[in-house]
Amino acid sequence: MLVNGRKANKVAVFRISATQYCAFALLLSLVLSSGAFFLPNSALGWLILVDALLVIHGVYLKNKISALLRLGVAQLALTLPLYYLIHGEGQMLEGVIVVLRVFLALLPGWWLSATQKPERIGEVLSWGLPAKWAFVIAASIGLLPYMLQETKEIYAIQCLRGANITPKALRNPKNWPELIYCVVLPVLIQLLKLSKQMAKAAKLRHFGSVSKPTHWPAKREEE
Amino acid sequence: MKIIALEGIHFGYGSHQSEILDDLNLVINRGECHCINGATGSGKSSLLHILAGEQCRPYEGDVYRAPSLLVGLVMQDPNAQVLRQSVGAEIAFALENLGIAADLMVEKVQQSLRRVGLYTSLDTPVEVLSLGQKYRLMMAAQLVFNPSLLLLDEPWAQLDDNGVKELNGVLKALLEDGVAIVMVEHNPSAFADLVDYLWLLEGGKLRAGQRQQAQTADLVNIRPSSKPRHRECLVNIAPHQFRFIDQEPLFECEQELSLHRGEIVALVGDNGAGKSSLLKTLAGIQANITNLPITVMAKRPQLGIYGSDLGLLMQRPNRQLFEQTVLTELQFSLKRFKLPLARAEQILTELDLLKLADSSPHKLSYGQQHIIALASLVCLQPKLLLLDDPFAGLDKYHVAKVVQILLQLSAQGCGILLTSHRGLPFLAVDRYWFIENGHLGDGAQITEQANVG
Repeated sequence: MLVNGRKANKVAVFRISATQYCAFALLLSLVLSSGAFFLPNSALGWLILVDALLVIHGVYLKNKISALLRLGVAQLALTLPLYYLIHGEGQMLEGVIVVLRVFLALLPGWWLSATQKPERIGEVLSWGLPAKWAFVIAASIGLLPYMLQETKEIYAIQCLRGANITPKALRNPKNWPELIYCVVLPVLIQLLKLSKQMAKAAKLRHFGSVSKPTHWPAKREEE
Repeated sequence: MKIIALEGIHFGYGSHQSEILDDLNLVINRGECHCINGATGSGKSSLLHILAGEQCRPYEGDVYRAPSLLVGLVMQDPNAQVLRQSVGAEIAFALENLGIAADLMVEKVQQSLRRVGLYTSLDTPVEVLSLGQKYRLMMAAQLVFNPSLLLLDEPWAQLDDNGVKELNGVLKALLEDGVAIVMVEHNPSAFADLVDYLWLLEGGKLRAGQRQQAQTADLVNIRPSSKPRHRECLVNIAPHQFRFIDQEPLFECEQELSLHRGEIVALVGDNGAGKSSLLKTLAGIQANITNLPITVMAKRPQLGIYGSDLGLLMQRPNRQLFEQTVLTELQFSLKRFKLPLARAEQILTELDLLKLADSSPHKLSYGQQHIIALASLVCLQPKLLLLDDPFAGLDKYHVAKVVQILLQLSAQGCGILLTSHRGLPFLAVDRYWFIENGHLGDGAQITEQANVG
């Protein structure tokens, strides 16, 4: 029994809390995202290697990366023709590297939001930011999956209504304003309505009543 | 004991518009249940927000609040109130803001969950809960700080009959504990046993309302059999298991189901039964779904292959509105499908809504937006119309308008499949399909009984 107890104590020494893990994840994401812009081209290989580990971790935890990959491909499809038109064939590799850097800057954010709960990120942010700012950032992160779903549904509704925004139609730049007009605009209207309602909901649940709010415990079984 | 009182409240949305609350008075005492009924746009939600102390627009009049008054508000759409991702964290949000120590939170949160009859793990992601469960979660999130006044915005429209039954039990216990309840509700009869004061908000004032006969799920309205089998089959669903990829089946369909031209079929099931997912699958927009033996107009459903032959009205249809005027909103699809633009004015005339033609769709009431979104599909004269809960949140006037549109379309040969939590006594349909206990099937027995009756 005594031996088991000592073992348990040893394990406890090395165990970090969910909040500390979140703080580490937040810091790591910031460093890696900054690195995507500031590292020289020669060091990008190492960054890709580290980011690949994040992808493996995120996918292992059953998170989907397909939306981010699609975004990367769309960005590539948009940037390369522009580079070709503006700088000519010689600068195409430069264009690929720019897209790669943007993708590598976004990837740690995907990993962070996929592996950490927004309220835990809010708790960590409140160490250095006013509680209100921390809540707004955490709530915005939490809102992303809902808004993504909302965007998909509005896109589908408008496609069914005959809008020229199917992937095939969007190959023609003439149809891009229609995407903004009948998808982005309604999504923004929804976002404004939702943020107003969320602000009201938070206020009714005493948000802002105390200067230093407490936090819901992440690991209750330990207590 | 008086906990809140409104005296001579005047409220409007602009200096050029008439007041929607005009010299309104209301007194609420501890342990009382008030139910406010009224047409959409009559000011029910505005009144609720004044009671909550969260009306951002200015109003005139006096509001008395007892010093100890704590108000909880559950809005119409629980999704708009979710601030966290797990059940425990969501309920604990108010405790965090009140500075309650973390080690005291768990017990309080569990107590609140028990009060609303939601027996789920504290780590359950909010997104996996059904709409009815989310509604109760939002109630728990209010009850955790022991409010003395609980405000509910149209619970009946959001909940299935089981959810309404459970909510009745929860509210009864709260009233016994001395909590006052004010609910805004189009169907007050669903909570008739609890309501002490029934009000009708009309012309900006509260008048005593009349109690109506309860609407039950058993009431169905079946059209006399018209032997439609010779007509074109629009939807065919062969026996299958409906499941998302890598997930357990949502329901099993053991018999072949079909919908023909001119038919109206109501798909009825509880919250979370899979009604919306089936509708989206029929429209070809449901992602993450296995290959199913379903055909729509003799084709495997896919986005963009049906053109103007298929219309889908999703829940909260006001999301699709984006044009500057109602008329251009209706003309949008007509232009894209190269159909006569005159149809837009024609449908507005038929619905007696021509006066709204130049209005901004964003400034209309919920019911009006709903009708405009539906009208934008109707003017395409589709062969098949799929409607997800088209009567949710509508008052009697707008329900009658929607019924008028559907019967007219059906007479023109349009096949209509619509979903609901419960039977639709106000709309004569050809058949009911039910999703019950994980099984989708034709409610043939009900149809026969209704025809015999």
